[in-house]
Amino acid sequence: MSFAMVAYLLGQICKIEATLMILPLGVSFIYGERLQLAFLIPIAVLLAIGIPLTIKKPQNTHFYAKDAFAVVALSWFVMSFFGAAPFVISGAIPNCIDAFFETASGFTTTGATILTVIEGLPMGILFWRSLTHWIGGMGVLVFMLAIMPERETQSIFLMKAESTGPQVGKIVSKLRVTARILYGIYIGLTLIEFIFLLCGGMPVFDSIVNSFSTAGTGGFSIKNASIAGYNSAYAEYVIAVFMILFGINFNIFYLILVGQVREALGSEELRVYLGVIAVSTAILTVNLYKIYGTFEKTFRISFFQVSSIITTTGFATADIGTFPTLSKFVLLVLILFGACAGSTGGGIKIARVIILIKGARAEIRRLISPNAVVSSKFEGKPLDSALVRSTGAYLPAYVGLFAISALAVSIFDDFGFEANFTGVMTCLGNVGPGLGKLSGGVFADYSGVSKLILSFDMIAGRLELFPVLMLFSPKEYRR
Amino acid sequence: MNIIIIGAGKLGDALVSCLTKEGHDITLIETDKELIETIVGKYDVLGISGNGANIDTLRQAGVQKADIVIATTANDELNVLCCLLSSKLGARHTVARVRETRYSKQLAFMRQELGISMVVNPELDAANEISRILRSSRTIKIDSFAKGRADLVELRVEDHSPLEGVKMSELSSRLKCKVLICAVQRGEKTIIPDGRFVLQTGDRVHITASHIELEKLFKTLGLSKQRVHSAMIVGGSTTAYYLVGQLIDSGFRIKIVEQDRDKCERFSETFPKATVICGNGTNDSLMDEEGLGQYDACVALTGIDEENIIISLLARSKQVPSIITKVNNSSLLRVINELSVDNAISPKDLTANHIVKYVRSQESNDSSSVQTLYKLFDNSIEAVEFVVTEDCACTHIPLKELKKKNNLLIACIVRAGQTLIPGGNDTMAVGDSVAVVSSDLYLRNLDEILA
Repeated sequence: MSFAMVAYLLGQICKIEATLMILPLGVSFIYGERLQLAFLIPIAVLLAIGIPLTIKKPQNTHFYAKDAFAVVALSWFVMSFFGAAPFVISGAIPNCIDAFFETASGFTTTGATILTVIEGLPMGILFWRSLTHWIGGMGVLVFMLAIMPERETQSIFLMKAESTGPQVGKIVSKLRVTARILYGIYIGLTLIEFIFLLCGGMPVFDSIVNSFSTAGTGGFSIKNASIAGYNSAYAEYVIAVFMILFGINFNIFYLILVGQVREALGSEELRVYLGVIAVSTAILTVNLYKIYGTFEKTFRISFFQVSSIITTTGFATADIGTFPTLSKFVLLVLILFGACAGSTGGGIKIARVIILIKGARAEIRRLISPNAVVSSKFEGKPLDSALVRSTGAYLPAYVGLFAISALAVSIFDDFGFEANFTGVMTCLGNVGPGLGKLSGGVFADYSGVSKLILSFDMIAGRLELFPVLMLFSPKEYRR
Repeated sequence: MNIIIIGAGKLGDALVSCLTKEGHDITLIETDKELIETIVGKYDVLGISGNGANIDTLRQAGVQKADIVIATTANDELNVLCCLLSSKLGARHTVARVRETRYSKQLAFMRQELGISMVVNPELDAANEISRILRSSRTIKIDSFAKGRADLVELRVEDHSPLEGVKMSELSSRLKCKVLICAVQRGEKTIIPDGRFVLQTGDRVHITASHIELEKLFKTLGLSKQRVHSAMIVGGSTTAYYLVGQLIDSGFRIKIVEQDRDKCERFSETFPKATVICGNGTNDSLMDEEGLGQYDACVALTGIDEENIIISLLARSKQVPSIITKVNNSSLLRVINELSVDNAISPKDLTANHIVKYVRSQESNDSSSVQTLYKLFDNSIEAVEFVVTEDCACTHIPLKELKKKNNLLIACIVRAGQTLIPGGNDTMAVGDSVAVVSSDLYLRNLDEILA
């Protein structure tokens, strides 16, 4: 393993995080808050680490998959660690573990919080909290690839380790240009949402932070009652639609931009994703009709909750804890599924679900008639066995990590089966809210150990397990 | 530029490696998915799995906007088909590899009549190169600039050689000839030396000079002239086929050693003047029996690099004066540098360099574009020749006052047929041919040497 290159890239990440912290510093300055130190201290520390590490590029720039995995996993822990500093120093979240949990939840776009009262926190802190969603959504390493000069490391493995989905590929031949296209689409969509929200009468600051949270499919809100706090059907529809958009594979937006609309809309994953949303919304609308009375309100709440959960955002316009069991169960399945591959969403990803189901179906047919030659297709191409195998490895790893974490959390905390079970699931899937006690996504009462375990789960879930699991198996990088 | 490369074999891989470094947008089409994965992991390219002669695949790769399509699959006919389709679909230039001997006489026809911009044949390139070395007076690999007016030669600084311990600035006075050392390889490092650099035993150096000065240098170094009249060729590859034809025409006595009986028979039918031996070239006693030691030259041309290296070592132990080795995986050479394989030829790299030169000359369309291009020391340093044109910004300024980039060197200037090894007070004038040695710069025209 190339430790020199890993250190060099981590230094770059530190410098990027320091630069990003200037934004909330500016916001707190605009609002005349005395928060300068809360941001200046971490900025100074990050620069003090980042500059020496990047002053000289290592001679040997050979860089392999293993190194990329290590860089990505370490970066996310380092980012969450230093990103927590403003919360602690400003006194918004005095407890270090709580602040780490909050930041990890931000960067991984989970949206689970330990804050019971959000309104009244300083604007700079609220801005930083939502900005972490936006950075984490598309990924900081992809950001680095987009801004670094051409001669720097152009390893596809960095992108593979950070981007989501079973098949991460480039859009155009150059990695740097690919990263720029992705960020261009990301910034563009965020801007459009901001304008839509602004037109609906939402204040500028709220429009910005809610756009950040939606774009990263995060779920941090600056109202205690989440999006319900705005009492605006318009805002709810806008956010619901944009959550769905950010849950779509970004390659599809690129195809549309270059005029290949037919190919884009023909995507199998997109169709299944939209189908699942439609069916789930229909079930919830029927199931919840008795509670809310009018069709429009029931539909709006169902549509919003389904979009919020399947894209793993976690915004709320109603307390899902009060829903009937059928609706809860549908939402639970959506927590597991997650959004499309190559989006900012979390979960197992629709593409993997499709591949797993198709693989299983083919296997069952082979069992029934052993001589049959069975082939299945995905996105119009034959499903190759390497993809089925790697996806097949993902599910047991996911379930295994889930089981171990749920077991460990239950040793330290007992808030009922529903809460503990869905709490781990929601963190691993980067969703936010769970069921039972956690229907608001507030993890304040969990013990410190549990919060650390859950923070780990969030980062593991965001990076799709393998980079983080590799980091904790030293055998892999001993030589 | 947008470049599509079809086929990720040895040549495809070498091309991807060279062209990505120069910053081109490259799309690779290959049928083997695993091969694509490996290459996409190593280089910054877009991989598409599929057949390069499939119109849908070509469209997916963006052939309409491609500047150059290079077809390097294992199959000649497929390569030609890829090029024909690509140019009909809108690619500006096409390059096809055609290497089978049965097509070798119609390459020019294909270029002119089928609209393929360039047809390359690595085996023929290698054969030409080897026969050039064997026919030269000292069987040393000599590359040339400015249509042969200046030479570029690679030497190794041996123990007690007059080169040992020489400081660059004293080179001409110590050796009593006007030559320039433009690149040095010491261990793993490659260096473009300045005046303070001192040579050591074991360094490999590249020297530029005119013919006459080079002869003087060889005399100082005690390298005697030795004409080659006979050659033992081990391995009946396609390269061997081309080479034997050329050597027999120049009156060489040739013996071919090949394991495969069918191939042997084909050789003996085609070249009745050559002696064909059916046997294993790494077999010591067989080679003794066939009198390897009595030959002037040994050329190892089997399909396996390792075997070629062993054959060369065997020939060295039998004191064969000139040995030429075909080594495709040039990184192997660094490992065996100490064993000093003197003349290594890599067909893949030769052809890749031809194509890279072609790509670079397409990029800057003025007349000062790249004339010749050689890659030295496993592609880490390159020597490029330009012609100075009117609009060039470097003319009439003494070289020492020119604000040049780091790690480059003006290796020689050819003016009106005269070769000049430039010093700080010399200038470049319109019409000169200038050879520039540089690392990591990928020069496309002469003005790019300016910082």
